[in-house]
Amino acid sequence: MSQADNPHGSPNSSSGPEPSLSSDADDSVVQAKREPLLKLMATSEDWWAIYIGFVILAIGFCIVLLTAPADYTSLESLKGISPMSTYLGKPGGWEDSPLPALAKSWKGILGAFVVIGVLFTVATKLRGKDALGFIKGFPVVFALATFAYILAGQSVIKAYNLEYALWALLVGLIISNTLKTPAWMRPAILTEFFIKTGLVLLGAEVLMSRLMALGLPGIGVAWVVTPIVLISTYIFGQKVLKIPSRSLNMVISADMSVCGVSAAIATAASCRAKKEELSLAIGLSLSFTVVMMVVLPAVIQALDLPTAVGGAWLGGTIDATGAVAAAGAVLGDEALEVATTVKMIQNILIGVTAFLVAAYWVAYVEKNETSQKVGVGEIWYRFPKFVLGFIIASILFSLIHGQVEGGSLLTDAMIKDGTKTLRGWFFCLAFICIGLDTNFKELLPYFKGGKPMMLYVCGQSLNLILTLLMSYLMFGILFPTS
Amino acid sequence: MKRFLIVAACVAIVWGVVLPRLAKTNTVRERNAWLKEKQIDPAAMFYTELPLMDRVLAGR
Repeated sequence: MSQADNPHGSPNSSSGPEPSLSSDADDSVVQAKREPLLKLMATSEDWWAIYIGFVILAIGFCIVLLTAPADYTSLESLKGISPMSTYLGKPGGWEDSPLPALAKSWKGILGAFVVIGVLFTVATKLRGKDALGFIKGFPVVFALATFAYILAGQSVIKAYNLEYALWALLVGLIISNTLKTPAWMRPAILTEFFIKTGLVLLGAEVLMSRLMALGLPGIGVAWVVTPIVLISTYIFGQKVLKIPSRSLNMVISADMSVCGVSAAIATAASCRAKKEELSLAIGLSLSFTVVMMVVLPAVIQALDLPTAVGGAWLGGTIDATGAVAAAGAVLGDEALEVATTVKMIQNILIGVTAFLVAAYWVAYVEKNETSQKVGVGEIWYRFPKFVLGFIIASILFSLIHGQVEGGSLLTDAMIKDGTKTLRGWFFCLAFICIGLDTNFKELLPYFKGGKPMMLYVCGQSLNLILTLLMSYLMFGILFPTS
Repeated sequence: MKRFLIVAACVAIVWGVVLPRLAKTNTVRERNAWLKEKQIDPAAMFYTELPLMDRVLAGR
């Protein structure tokens, strides 16, 4: 069944394997024939995303370690020391013309192109896929991603939190719906591969050692309310709104309750949502974020809430991290600190969310849809392995960050100098690919009936109420700040 | 091709003319200066992309 025929259908319906974010046969959940583990480890995207992710992390950490001065004591003393800060970059912000920003960052853009191009060409070749085709198509896909970054870097666009994901999606959609995506670009349209690799890199940024940055109040707002809202919204979507696609329901619930685009990407990959579902969830999230970023601080001021309570409310409810900071700063420094720290703790929830959603999907959702009894072996077989890479990267770098002397500075330097930039490129490339692979007509059925919008509005309303109550309890009554 | 050229022209006008002019208005200038002073990247997707987090975490 094609996606156009059944836009709301589950990606893993009993009608047989259906493409999710990618159309790669290796990623079909319900496979007619079970592949041996060693073969999967040699050919599947999940495993190769882990290999590439860990190669980048290992090399990045070694470069920082080897180039660090002997007497480093702060992040400032490590800043700009490693060559990664020069040779891995993205187009910077601009106001009148993007050319000066490009002239400043061209070495970094070229470096990112070479690193990603080489790693993915080797991976494509070793996976037995069309490596030559990838080499032909990748420069154009990368050029489009660069263009999307340039669009997102304009100062007005940037100031209002319109992230690169939106522009990457639009650039891809414009090409595919006006010129038609040429066949020779197809081997480089590796949506899910880019997303999974980016997520493994993101794992290194999910540092558990930062979980207690705000103590118990932060945990209360970010790790108690958020899962309650996520689960309640998902159940509401299934039982009340009866959203036909479970994966769409889950992606919207997660991006609304956890932390916007990054949570949507992680959850969509974990539950193998369709590319249209991820696009819709991100569109909803970014639209509401812009409104909430402006309205919520005004509401907090009108209600005369204590600044810490207001900050925690912002951090727990506004989806995007940058928008949380912009809104928190309106209320003052204390609100800004509380808001961004609550959002950081919520960011860390991505790892747990991705893992639990993936486990729930293989153990329950697919079991119901295939009406098969799913044993432990089958769960392991179906489990999206890149999630393990994501979790392992998170645990490993959390340990280095928290337990190894000087590890926190080295980890921070590695992330800031290089892996964060590459992770951004992977996500940007993925959204370009989604756009290149999507027809506007395929998106339209998702808007019919307005159910996704209703789900978002109802879920966000619950989020606003519960987070306000918890913020008031934690920061206003139990642990008031002076 | 015609549709592509129309969309490309729209993008060129918006990003090449409209947005640069908007960026020069006092409201946007003041907002950008304020964001820069507070070390806020409003387009940050994850906390590691926020420049101010170093200061916030160091304070804690």
